[in-house]
Parts: sequence; structure tokens; C-alpha cells
Amino acid sequence: MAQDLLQVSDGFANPVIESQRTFRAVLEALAHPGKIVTLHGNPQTPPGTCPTAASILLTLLDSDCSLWIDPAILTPAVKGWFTFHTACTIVPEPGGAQFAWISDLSVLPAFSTFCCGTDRYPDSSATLLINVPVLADGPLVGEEAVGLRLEGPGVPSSRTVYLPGVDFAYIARFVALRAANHEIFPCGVDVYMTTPETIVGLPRTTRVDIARGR
Amino acid sequence: MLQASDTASPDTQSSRANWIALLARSPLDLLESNCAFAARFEEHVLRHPETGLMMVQGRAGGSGARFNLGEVTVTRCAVRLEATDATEAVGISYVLGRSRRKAHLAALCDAMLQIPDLYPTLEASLLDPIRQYLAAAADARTARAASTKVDFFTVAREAGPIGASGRDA
Repeated sequence: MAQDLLQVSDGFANPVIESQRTFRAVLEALAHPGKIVTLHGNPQTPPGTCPTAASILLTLLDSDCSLWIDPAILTPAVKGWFTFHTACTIVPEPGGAQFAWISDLSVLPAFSTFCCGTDRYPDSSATLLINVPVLADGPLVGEEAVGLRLEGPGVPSSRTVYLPGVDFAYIARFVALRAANHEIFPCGVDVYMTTPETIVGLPRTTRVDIARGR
Repeated sequence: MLQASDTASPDTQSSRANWIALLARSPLDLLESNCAFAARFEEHVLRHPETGLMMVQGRAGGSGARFNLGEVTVTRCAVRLEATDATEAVGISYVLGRSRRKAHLAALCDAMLQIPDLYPTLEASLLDPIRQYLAAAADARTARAASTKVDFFTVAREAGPIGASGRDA
């Protein structure tokens, strides 16, 4: 373990309480796809990274897990922080990872590059955390907003999440990727979208379409 | 998972590996009496004291094949100390047993020992007393074992060379 511990910032101030609180929020988000869940008490994450995504990973990962981090945010400080606090393996290729952290929708690789599980073990698929600038449950006043209309288990009739500040092309691409993901059900990846304070869960059972609001 | 190391740690008195080993075997009260030095630092706990199991490996006779001897309970901790003058140090500890307090204090002392202007003070007030304590404990153990020592001796054969008797029979 040759790493400079001086570069490692603190993890959870109270690991038991905060990781359980985060776990509860993650469950809530996954049980109600599209519901915007606020995460409190995030750890001191390495600079330039999304604190909610980091605290979800800090909660879920241990030494048996593998993580792929988007090269845009994979600095030595980030790598050292995860290695120290979770002892997980950081893998160079997305295909070998159980968890993946993507810094922006624009750099999202195709879902097929991740492990999608097998018919026998669909649970072995990857979980993706994607950072977005804002998650809103309604369109901002006076702006045309594009978002995701969600249907499926856990969603009463339908629910819409708006993504202000994200280019339409990237949202359309995400929706297309989700459609392909839905076709290989029960295999397929699960997705969380995270902002610095909130998260939204998009499990593989959720059908995603483009929504436009004003 | 920690990997066992076959190479002996550098045995100089002042090496970090050496003082970490001393701190891990120190009695708790010696650590308690020295932790006041940490008051001038801001303390960040990187890894809260946590208890786990470690596999101890051994070699028969010190040179045989490696085998798993058994598991021991170990508590570990990591802290970072920051002073106002931007001095900082990260201390770690791996301590046998389940004492979270001891693991925490050992990590604190390791961090403080890495700060050059604190080292001489702590060397005198902490490391020397630990060495004396460990030497005294080893002496006491040796003395206790020595008191049960039995000197066996073999009665020398009084007969002549083997086969000397009966040769003429």
C-alpha cells in the first residue's frame, strides 16, 4: 500500500450513522424511481468530485468490489481516497467493474461496455453513478426544459425528472441507451443520477422516455 | 488484507517501523500520559478505530514452509494531525486486541513522532519508558521460566568399551 496518506481526506465523520443514512436514501431512490432524494452529511471528498456519488460508493463498496472511474475525474487523490477508505479494486476497463462512476452524461460509454449480467445471474451487472448538474421535479420557470419521463414498477402512472443544463443530444442518447438496456431484461445496468446534494434512482425496470416541459 | 512480510523490519532505533512496533506493545497508561502533546494540533480521524481479524503465519523452526498459525484480533486506526504552521503528519496503528482507545492513541503518537520538533521529547517521555517496560516484562518472563529450570545429567557409562565383556566367553 504505497500511497501518500497525507493526500487522503477524511471519510464519514461518523461511519455507522452516515453510511446507514446514505444506504437508506439509496434504497428510497431505487424503490421510487425518479423521486429526488436529498443526501445529508456527505464526507470530505477529494476536490472536484461529486460528494453524493462519493458517499454512495463509500457506503456500498468494500474490498470485494471493483470500481471503474471515468478518466476525467480519476486523479491520484481520488484513487487514493477510495483505496484507503473502501479497499476496493479500481479497474482500468469499464467491463470489469461492478460499480462505475461517470462524471458527465457527455462522456457516458455505451451500457454494453459494462457488465450487464447473465440470464442466470442478472444480479452480477454493473451499477452506474452519473453526475448531472441539476435534478428538478418541474421545469424551471420561463425555460424550456428537457427531462426524462419514467414509467414502471415504483412509479405511480408516470413521473418526470428534468435535467436543466444538459444538452438535448446527450439526453436523447441516454434514452436510447436505456431502451437497449430494457430489451435485455432481466439483464442490464442500474443507474443513479447524482447532483452534489440529491440523487435519483433509475433501476433497470424503469422505462425512460424524453419529456419536454415549459 | 495485509500481506505478511518475511523481511525483517529495519532495526534502527529511530525508524518508524520500530516505533510503531513499540507503540503497539505499549501499556495504555504510557500512551495516555503522552497524548496531551496532541492538543496543539487539529485532529482528523481518517479511519476510526475498527477491530478485525488478521491471519498470523509462521514457519516451523523459522525456516520451514509457511503455514497459517491462527487468527488474531487486531484494532487499527489512522489519524491526520494538522498544526497552524501547516505541519501535518498521518499516524497509523495496528494494535493487538480490541482496545479502540489504545489504537487511537497509538496512531496519534505515531503522527506526533513524525514531527521533528516533537520527536526528542517523545523519545524520552514515551519510547524509552516503553522499551524499559518491555525489557522488564521480558526479564520477568525469563526469570519465571528460569525458576522452573531442571538440569538433567546423564550418568556416564562405567563399563569398558562396548563388547569388551564376554568377548572371551
